[in-house]
Amino acid sequence: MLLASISAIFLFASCDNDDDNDAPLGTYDNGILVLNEGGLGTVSFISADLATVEQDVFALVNGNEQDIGAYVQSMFFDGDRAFIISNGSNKITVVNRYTFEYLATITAGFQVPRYGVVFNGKAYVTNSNSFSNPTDDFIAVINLSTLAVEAPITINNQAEKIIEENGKLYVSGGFYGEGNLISVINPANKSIVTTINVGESPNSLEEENGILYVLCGSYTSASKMVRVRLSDNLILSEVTFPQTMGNAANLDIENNKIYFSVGAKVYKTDLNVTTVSDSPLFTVPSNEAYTGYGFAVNNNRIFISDPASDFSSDGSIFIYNTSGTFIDEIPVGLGPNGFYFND
Amino acid sequence: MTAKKLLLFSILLWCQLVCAQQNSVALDVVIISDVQLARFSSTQSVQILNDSVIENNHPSLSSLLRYNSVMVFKENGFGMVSSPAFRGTSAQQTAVIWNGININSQFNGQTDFNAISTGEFNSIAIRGGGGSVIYGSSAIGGTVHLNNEIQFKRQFNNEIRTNYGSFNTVGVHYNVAAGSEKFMTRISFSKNSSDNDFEYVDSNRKNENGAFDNRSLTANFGYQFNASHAIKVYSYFFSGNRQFSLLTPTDTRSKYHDLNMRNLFEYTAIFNRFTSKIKLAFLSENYHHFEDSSADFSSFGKAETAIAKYDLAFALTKDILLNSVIEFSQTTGIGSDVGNVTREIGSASFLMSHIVGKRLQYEVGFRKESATDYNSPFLFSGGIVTAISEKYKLKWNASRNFRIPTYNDLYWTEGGNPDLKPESSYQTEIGNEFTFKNLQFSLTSYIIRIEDMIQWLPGVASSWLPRNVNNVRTYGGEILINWKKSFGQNAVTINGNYAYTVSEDLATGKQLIYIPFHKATASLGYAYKKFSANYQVLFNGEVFTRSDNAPRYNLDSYTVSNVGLAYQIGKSDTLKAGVQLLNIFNEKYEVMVRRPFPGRHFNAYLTFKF
Repeated sequence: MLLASISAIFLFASCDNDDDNDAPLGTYDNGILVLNEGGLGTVSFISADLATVEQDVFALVNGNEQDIGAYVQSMFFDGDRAFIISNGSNKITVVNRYTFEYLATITAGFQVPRYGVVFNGKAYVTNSNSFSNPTDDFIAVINLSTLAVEAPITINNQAEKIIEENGKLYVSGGFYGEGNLISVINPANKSIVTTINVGESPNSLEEENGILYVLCGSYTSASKMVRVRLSDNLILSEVTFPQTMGNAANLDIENNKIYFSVGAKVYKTDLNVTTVSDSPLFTVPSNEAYTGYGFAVNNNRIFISDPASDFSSDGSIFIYNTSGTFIDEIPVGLGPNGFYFND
Repeated sequence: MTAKKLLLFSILLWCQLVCAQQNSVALDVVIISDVQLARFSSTQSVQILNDSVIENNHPSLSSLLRYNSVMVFKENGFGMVSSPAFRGTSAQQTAVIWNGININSQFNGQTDFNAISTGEFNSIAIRGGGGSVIYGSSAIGGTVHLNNEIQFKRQFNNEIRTNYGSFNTVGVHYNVAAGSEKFMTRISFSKNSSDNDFEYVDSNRKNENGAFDNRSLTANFGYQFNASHAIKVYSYFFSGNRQFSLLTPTDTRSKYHDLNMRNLFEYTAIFNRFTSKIKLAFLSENYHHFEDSSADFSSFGKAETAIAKYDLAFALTKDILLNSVIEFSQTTGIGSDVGNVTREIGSASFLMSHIVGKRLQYEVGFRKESATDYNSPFLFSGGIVTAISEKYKLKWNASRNFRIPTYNDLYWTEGGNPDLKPESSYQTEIGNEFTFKNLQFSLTSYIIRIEDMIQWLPGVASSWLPRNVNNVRTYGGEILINWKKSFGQNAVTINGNYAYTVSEDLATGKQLIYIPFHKATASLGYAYKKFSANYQVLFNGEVFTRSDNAPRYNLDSYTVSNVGLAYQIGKSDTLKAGVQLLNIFNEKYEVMVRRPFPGRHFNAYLTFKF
């Protein structure tokens, strides 16, 4: 009988925990956050069922005196905190990712910050530094409990996107057709382990099952995808895309499928293909010049952004399911460039 | 300037037809270099701001024109880069003319109106509508004329003016004019600086990194050999040091330095009915933009232009004036972001003005250019002015004007497009002018159609690329009012402007951003013996800030009032002290998004003439 009551207590306790897990952690839980580059950046919120859309949630919650900076580039998360990177104002604004209440700003140590990743209590943020010098990029290191900026890691090359896998940082050094390297960094001793020459401008990268998939876009010749084995950093294979395709970007892997975009066209293929054909899964019906500025695949849905060509009025986003069926088009802010998920 | 002189000015200006004179004393062709402004503008609207108006306003050209004309300015914060919008057109479609020479930048085709200090000039005129036939590129919405006068008479006048105001604003201006019947020299110097760290109204923030220190020097010299031969030399130097105010407190602090020089040499010979002028001009612009003021690295641009002009005017009869102008210019540009290129432009213009009878005058003009890097259209201008009665004149003008692609458009290293055509415009306007005993009133309506407007759009191989894509139509009306009256020792003047502007992108049907439908200014002046007071007010209507005119992003309209008092100490005109209270109602307003202007602030000045 004692055992029964003890187990009953545990049962009730676990029931309580389940209830807590189901309750939303804030107004902006269970939905999609769209980052709008700006001018002055804003964040749009769309509920997971697409029924609720709210624009400029940061100003809605925190008022107009504060801002998240000019030209917001990307966002990363640590626990329930969201870190919004502004490359135009050289700062990172820290907010609660579910309530969007302002928490802090980190202003020192950045020079055109771009993308960030979290590992072992620290955040690693790539910085382009000066535009005239492609090799002075660095990684700013932030202590996530004190928000103090520590000594940076110099890259001696371009640094744009960054991911972490098994204690190593992989930084793609590609920017608008330039660059050709992936830098492998050991964050523990802030050293460059090695560099991998992928040949053409790498613009996006993802890891899956010990293999790094790198998408190299080209404006002048064929784009390609490069597979790198992470155990020894060797290039396993390359898949060259048809020349007619154009500049491929936005590599994203979900459920063992590879997704990427070329302008308004979205492609889907298997992980281990050796060739890719120029037959898109779907094409977004838009005449704007920058369709695909932001792209993500999440929960069997594909999100692709469509900024106004002159970057002088609001843009919108398109949502499709992973079979290529259109779901919805939703207006957002100025220059939408990224999708982030609270689920 | 006494009220009586002002009255005389205005009568003679409006008296052109009735008196059957080719000259207008207010813009005396003998004392200014920009002869065509006086002689070939009868069918358009010209507004002249004389030195007393200039004195009562802030020394920047942007502030002076914002409060005293129909022009609208986009200013990136007080004292920062200011670009004009005249009749709903773009910044590159208003030309600034310095003593008859077009001085818009070779790099971006516009003039920064905060990089011109008004104290150096004797008069500033605003000429509405097209002017490419006379002034070349960019004269579409209108032209702003900066004039220095060279008069051969005995004189020795000095003037020192100092002012001090909020935000550690300090100004110093000195000029001396000396001359005899044979020679004349005028030298003036201005320095205007400010910390510009004003607090935003209703906010905890203040304007940061917005300090500026601008200096300018003018040296003019004239020598008259006899009544038929004279030489004149004009020089103008401007050095501007500005920090660019921050949009958000953590933005990188940047600064900007520009150095502009303008030099003009003119030799005039009059024989029989010919007036022959040889003009040689040398212009140079030089800028450095420090994206990070703590670092040494800067992007820069330098352009030098040499111009040779031959201007021949022939009075065929006392009523018919013919004028031909041949011009050749060579510009060499070099910069951190533009290719090192030399551009040569040759042009020939022909103008004719004919007064028919006592009530009618018509003007006609043509211009053709030949350039190394673009194809110029054939430009023309024609107009009629008729005195319906002694008090009412009706004017009509039609013209074709253009704006050439700039150095940046053609040769920017990342995306410059050498195949660009010039923007071209067709425009027409009708003006009604009423002159009564104390009141002048004019109502002008216009329509402008601009084609091939150059816009920088996202490209494929480079991030941005300029193309001739846009078609814009602007139309609207302008009202100008001047009223003066003296009652014994009291003198009252009222000036007002109102502009209604529709400016739409023909592809989308949307109003262009930052162009208000309504803008109005008014100023009221009162003088009694040694005391004078002045009140000016500006109303700028609501504007769109997004190209799709999404209303949630509109900037509110605003009304700003300024008040000034002045007192003459001792003998008349020698020593004058004044104080101004600006934005007296502490209006919270932004001229551009998130760029607030100062709340209530003051300025005090002292002028000493001897």
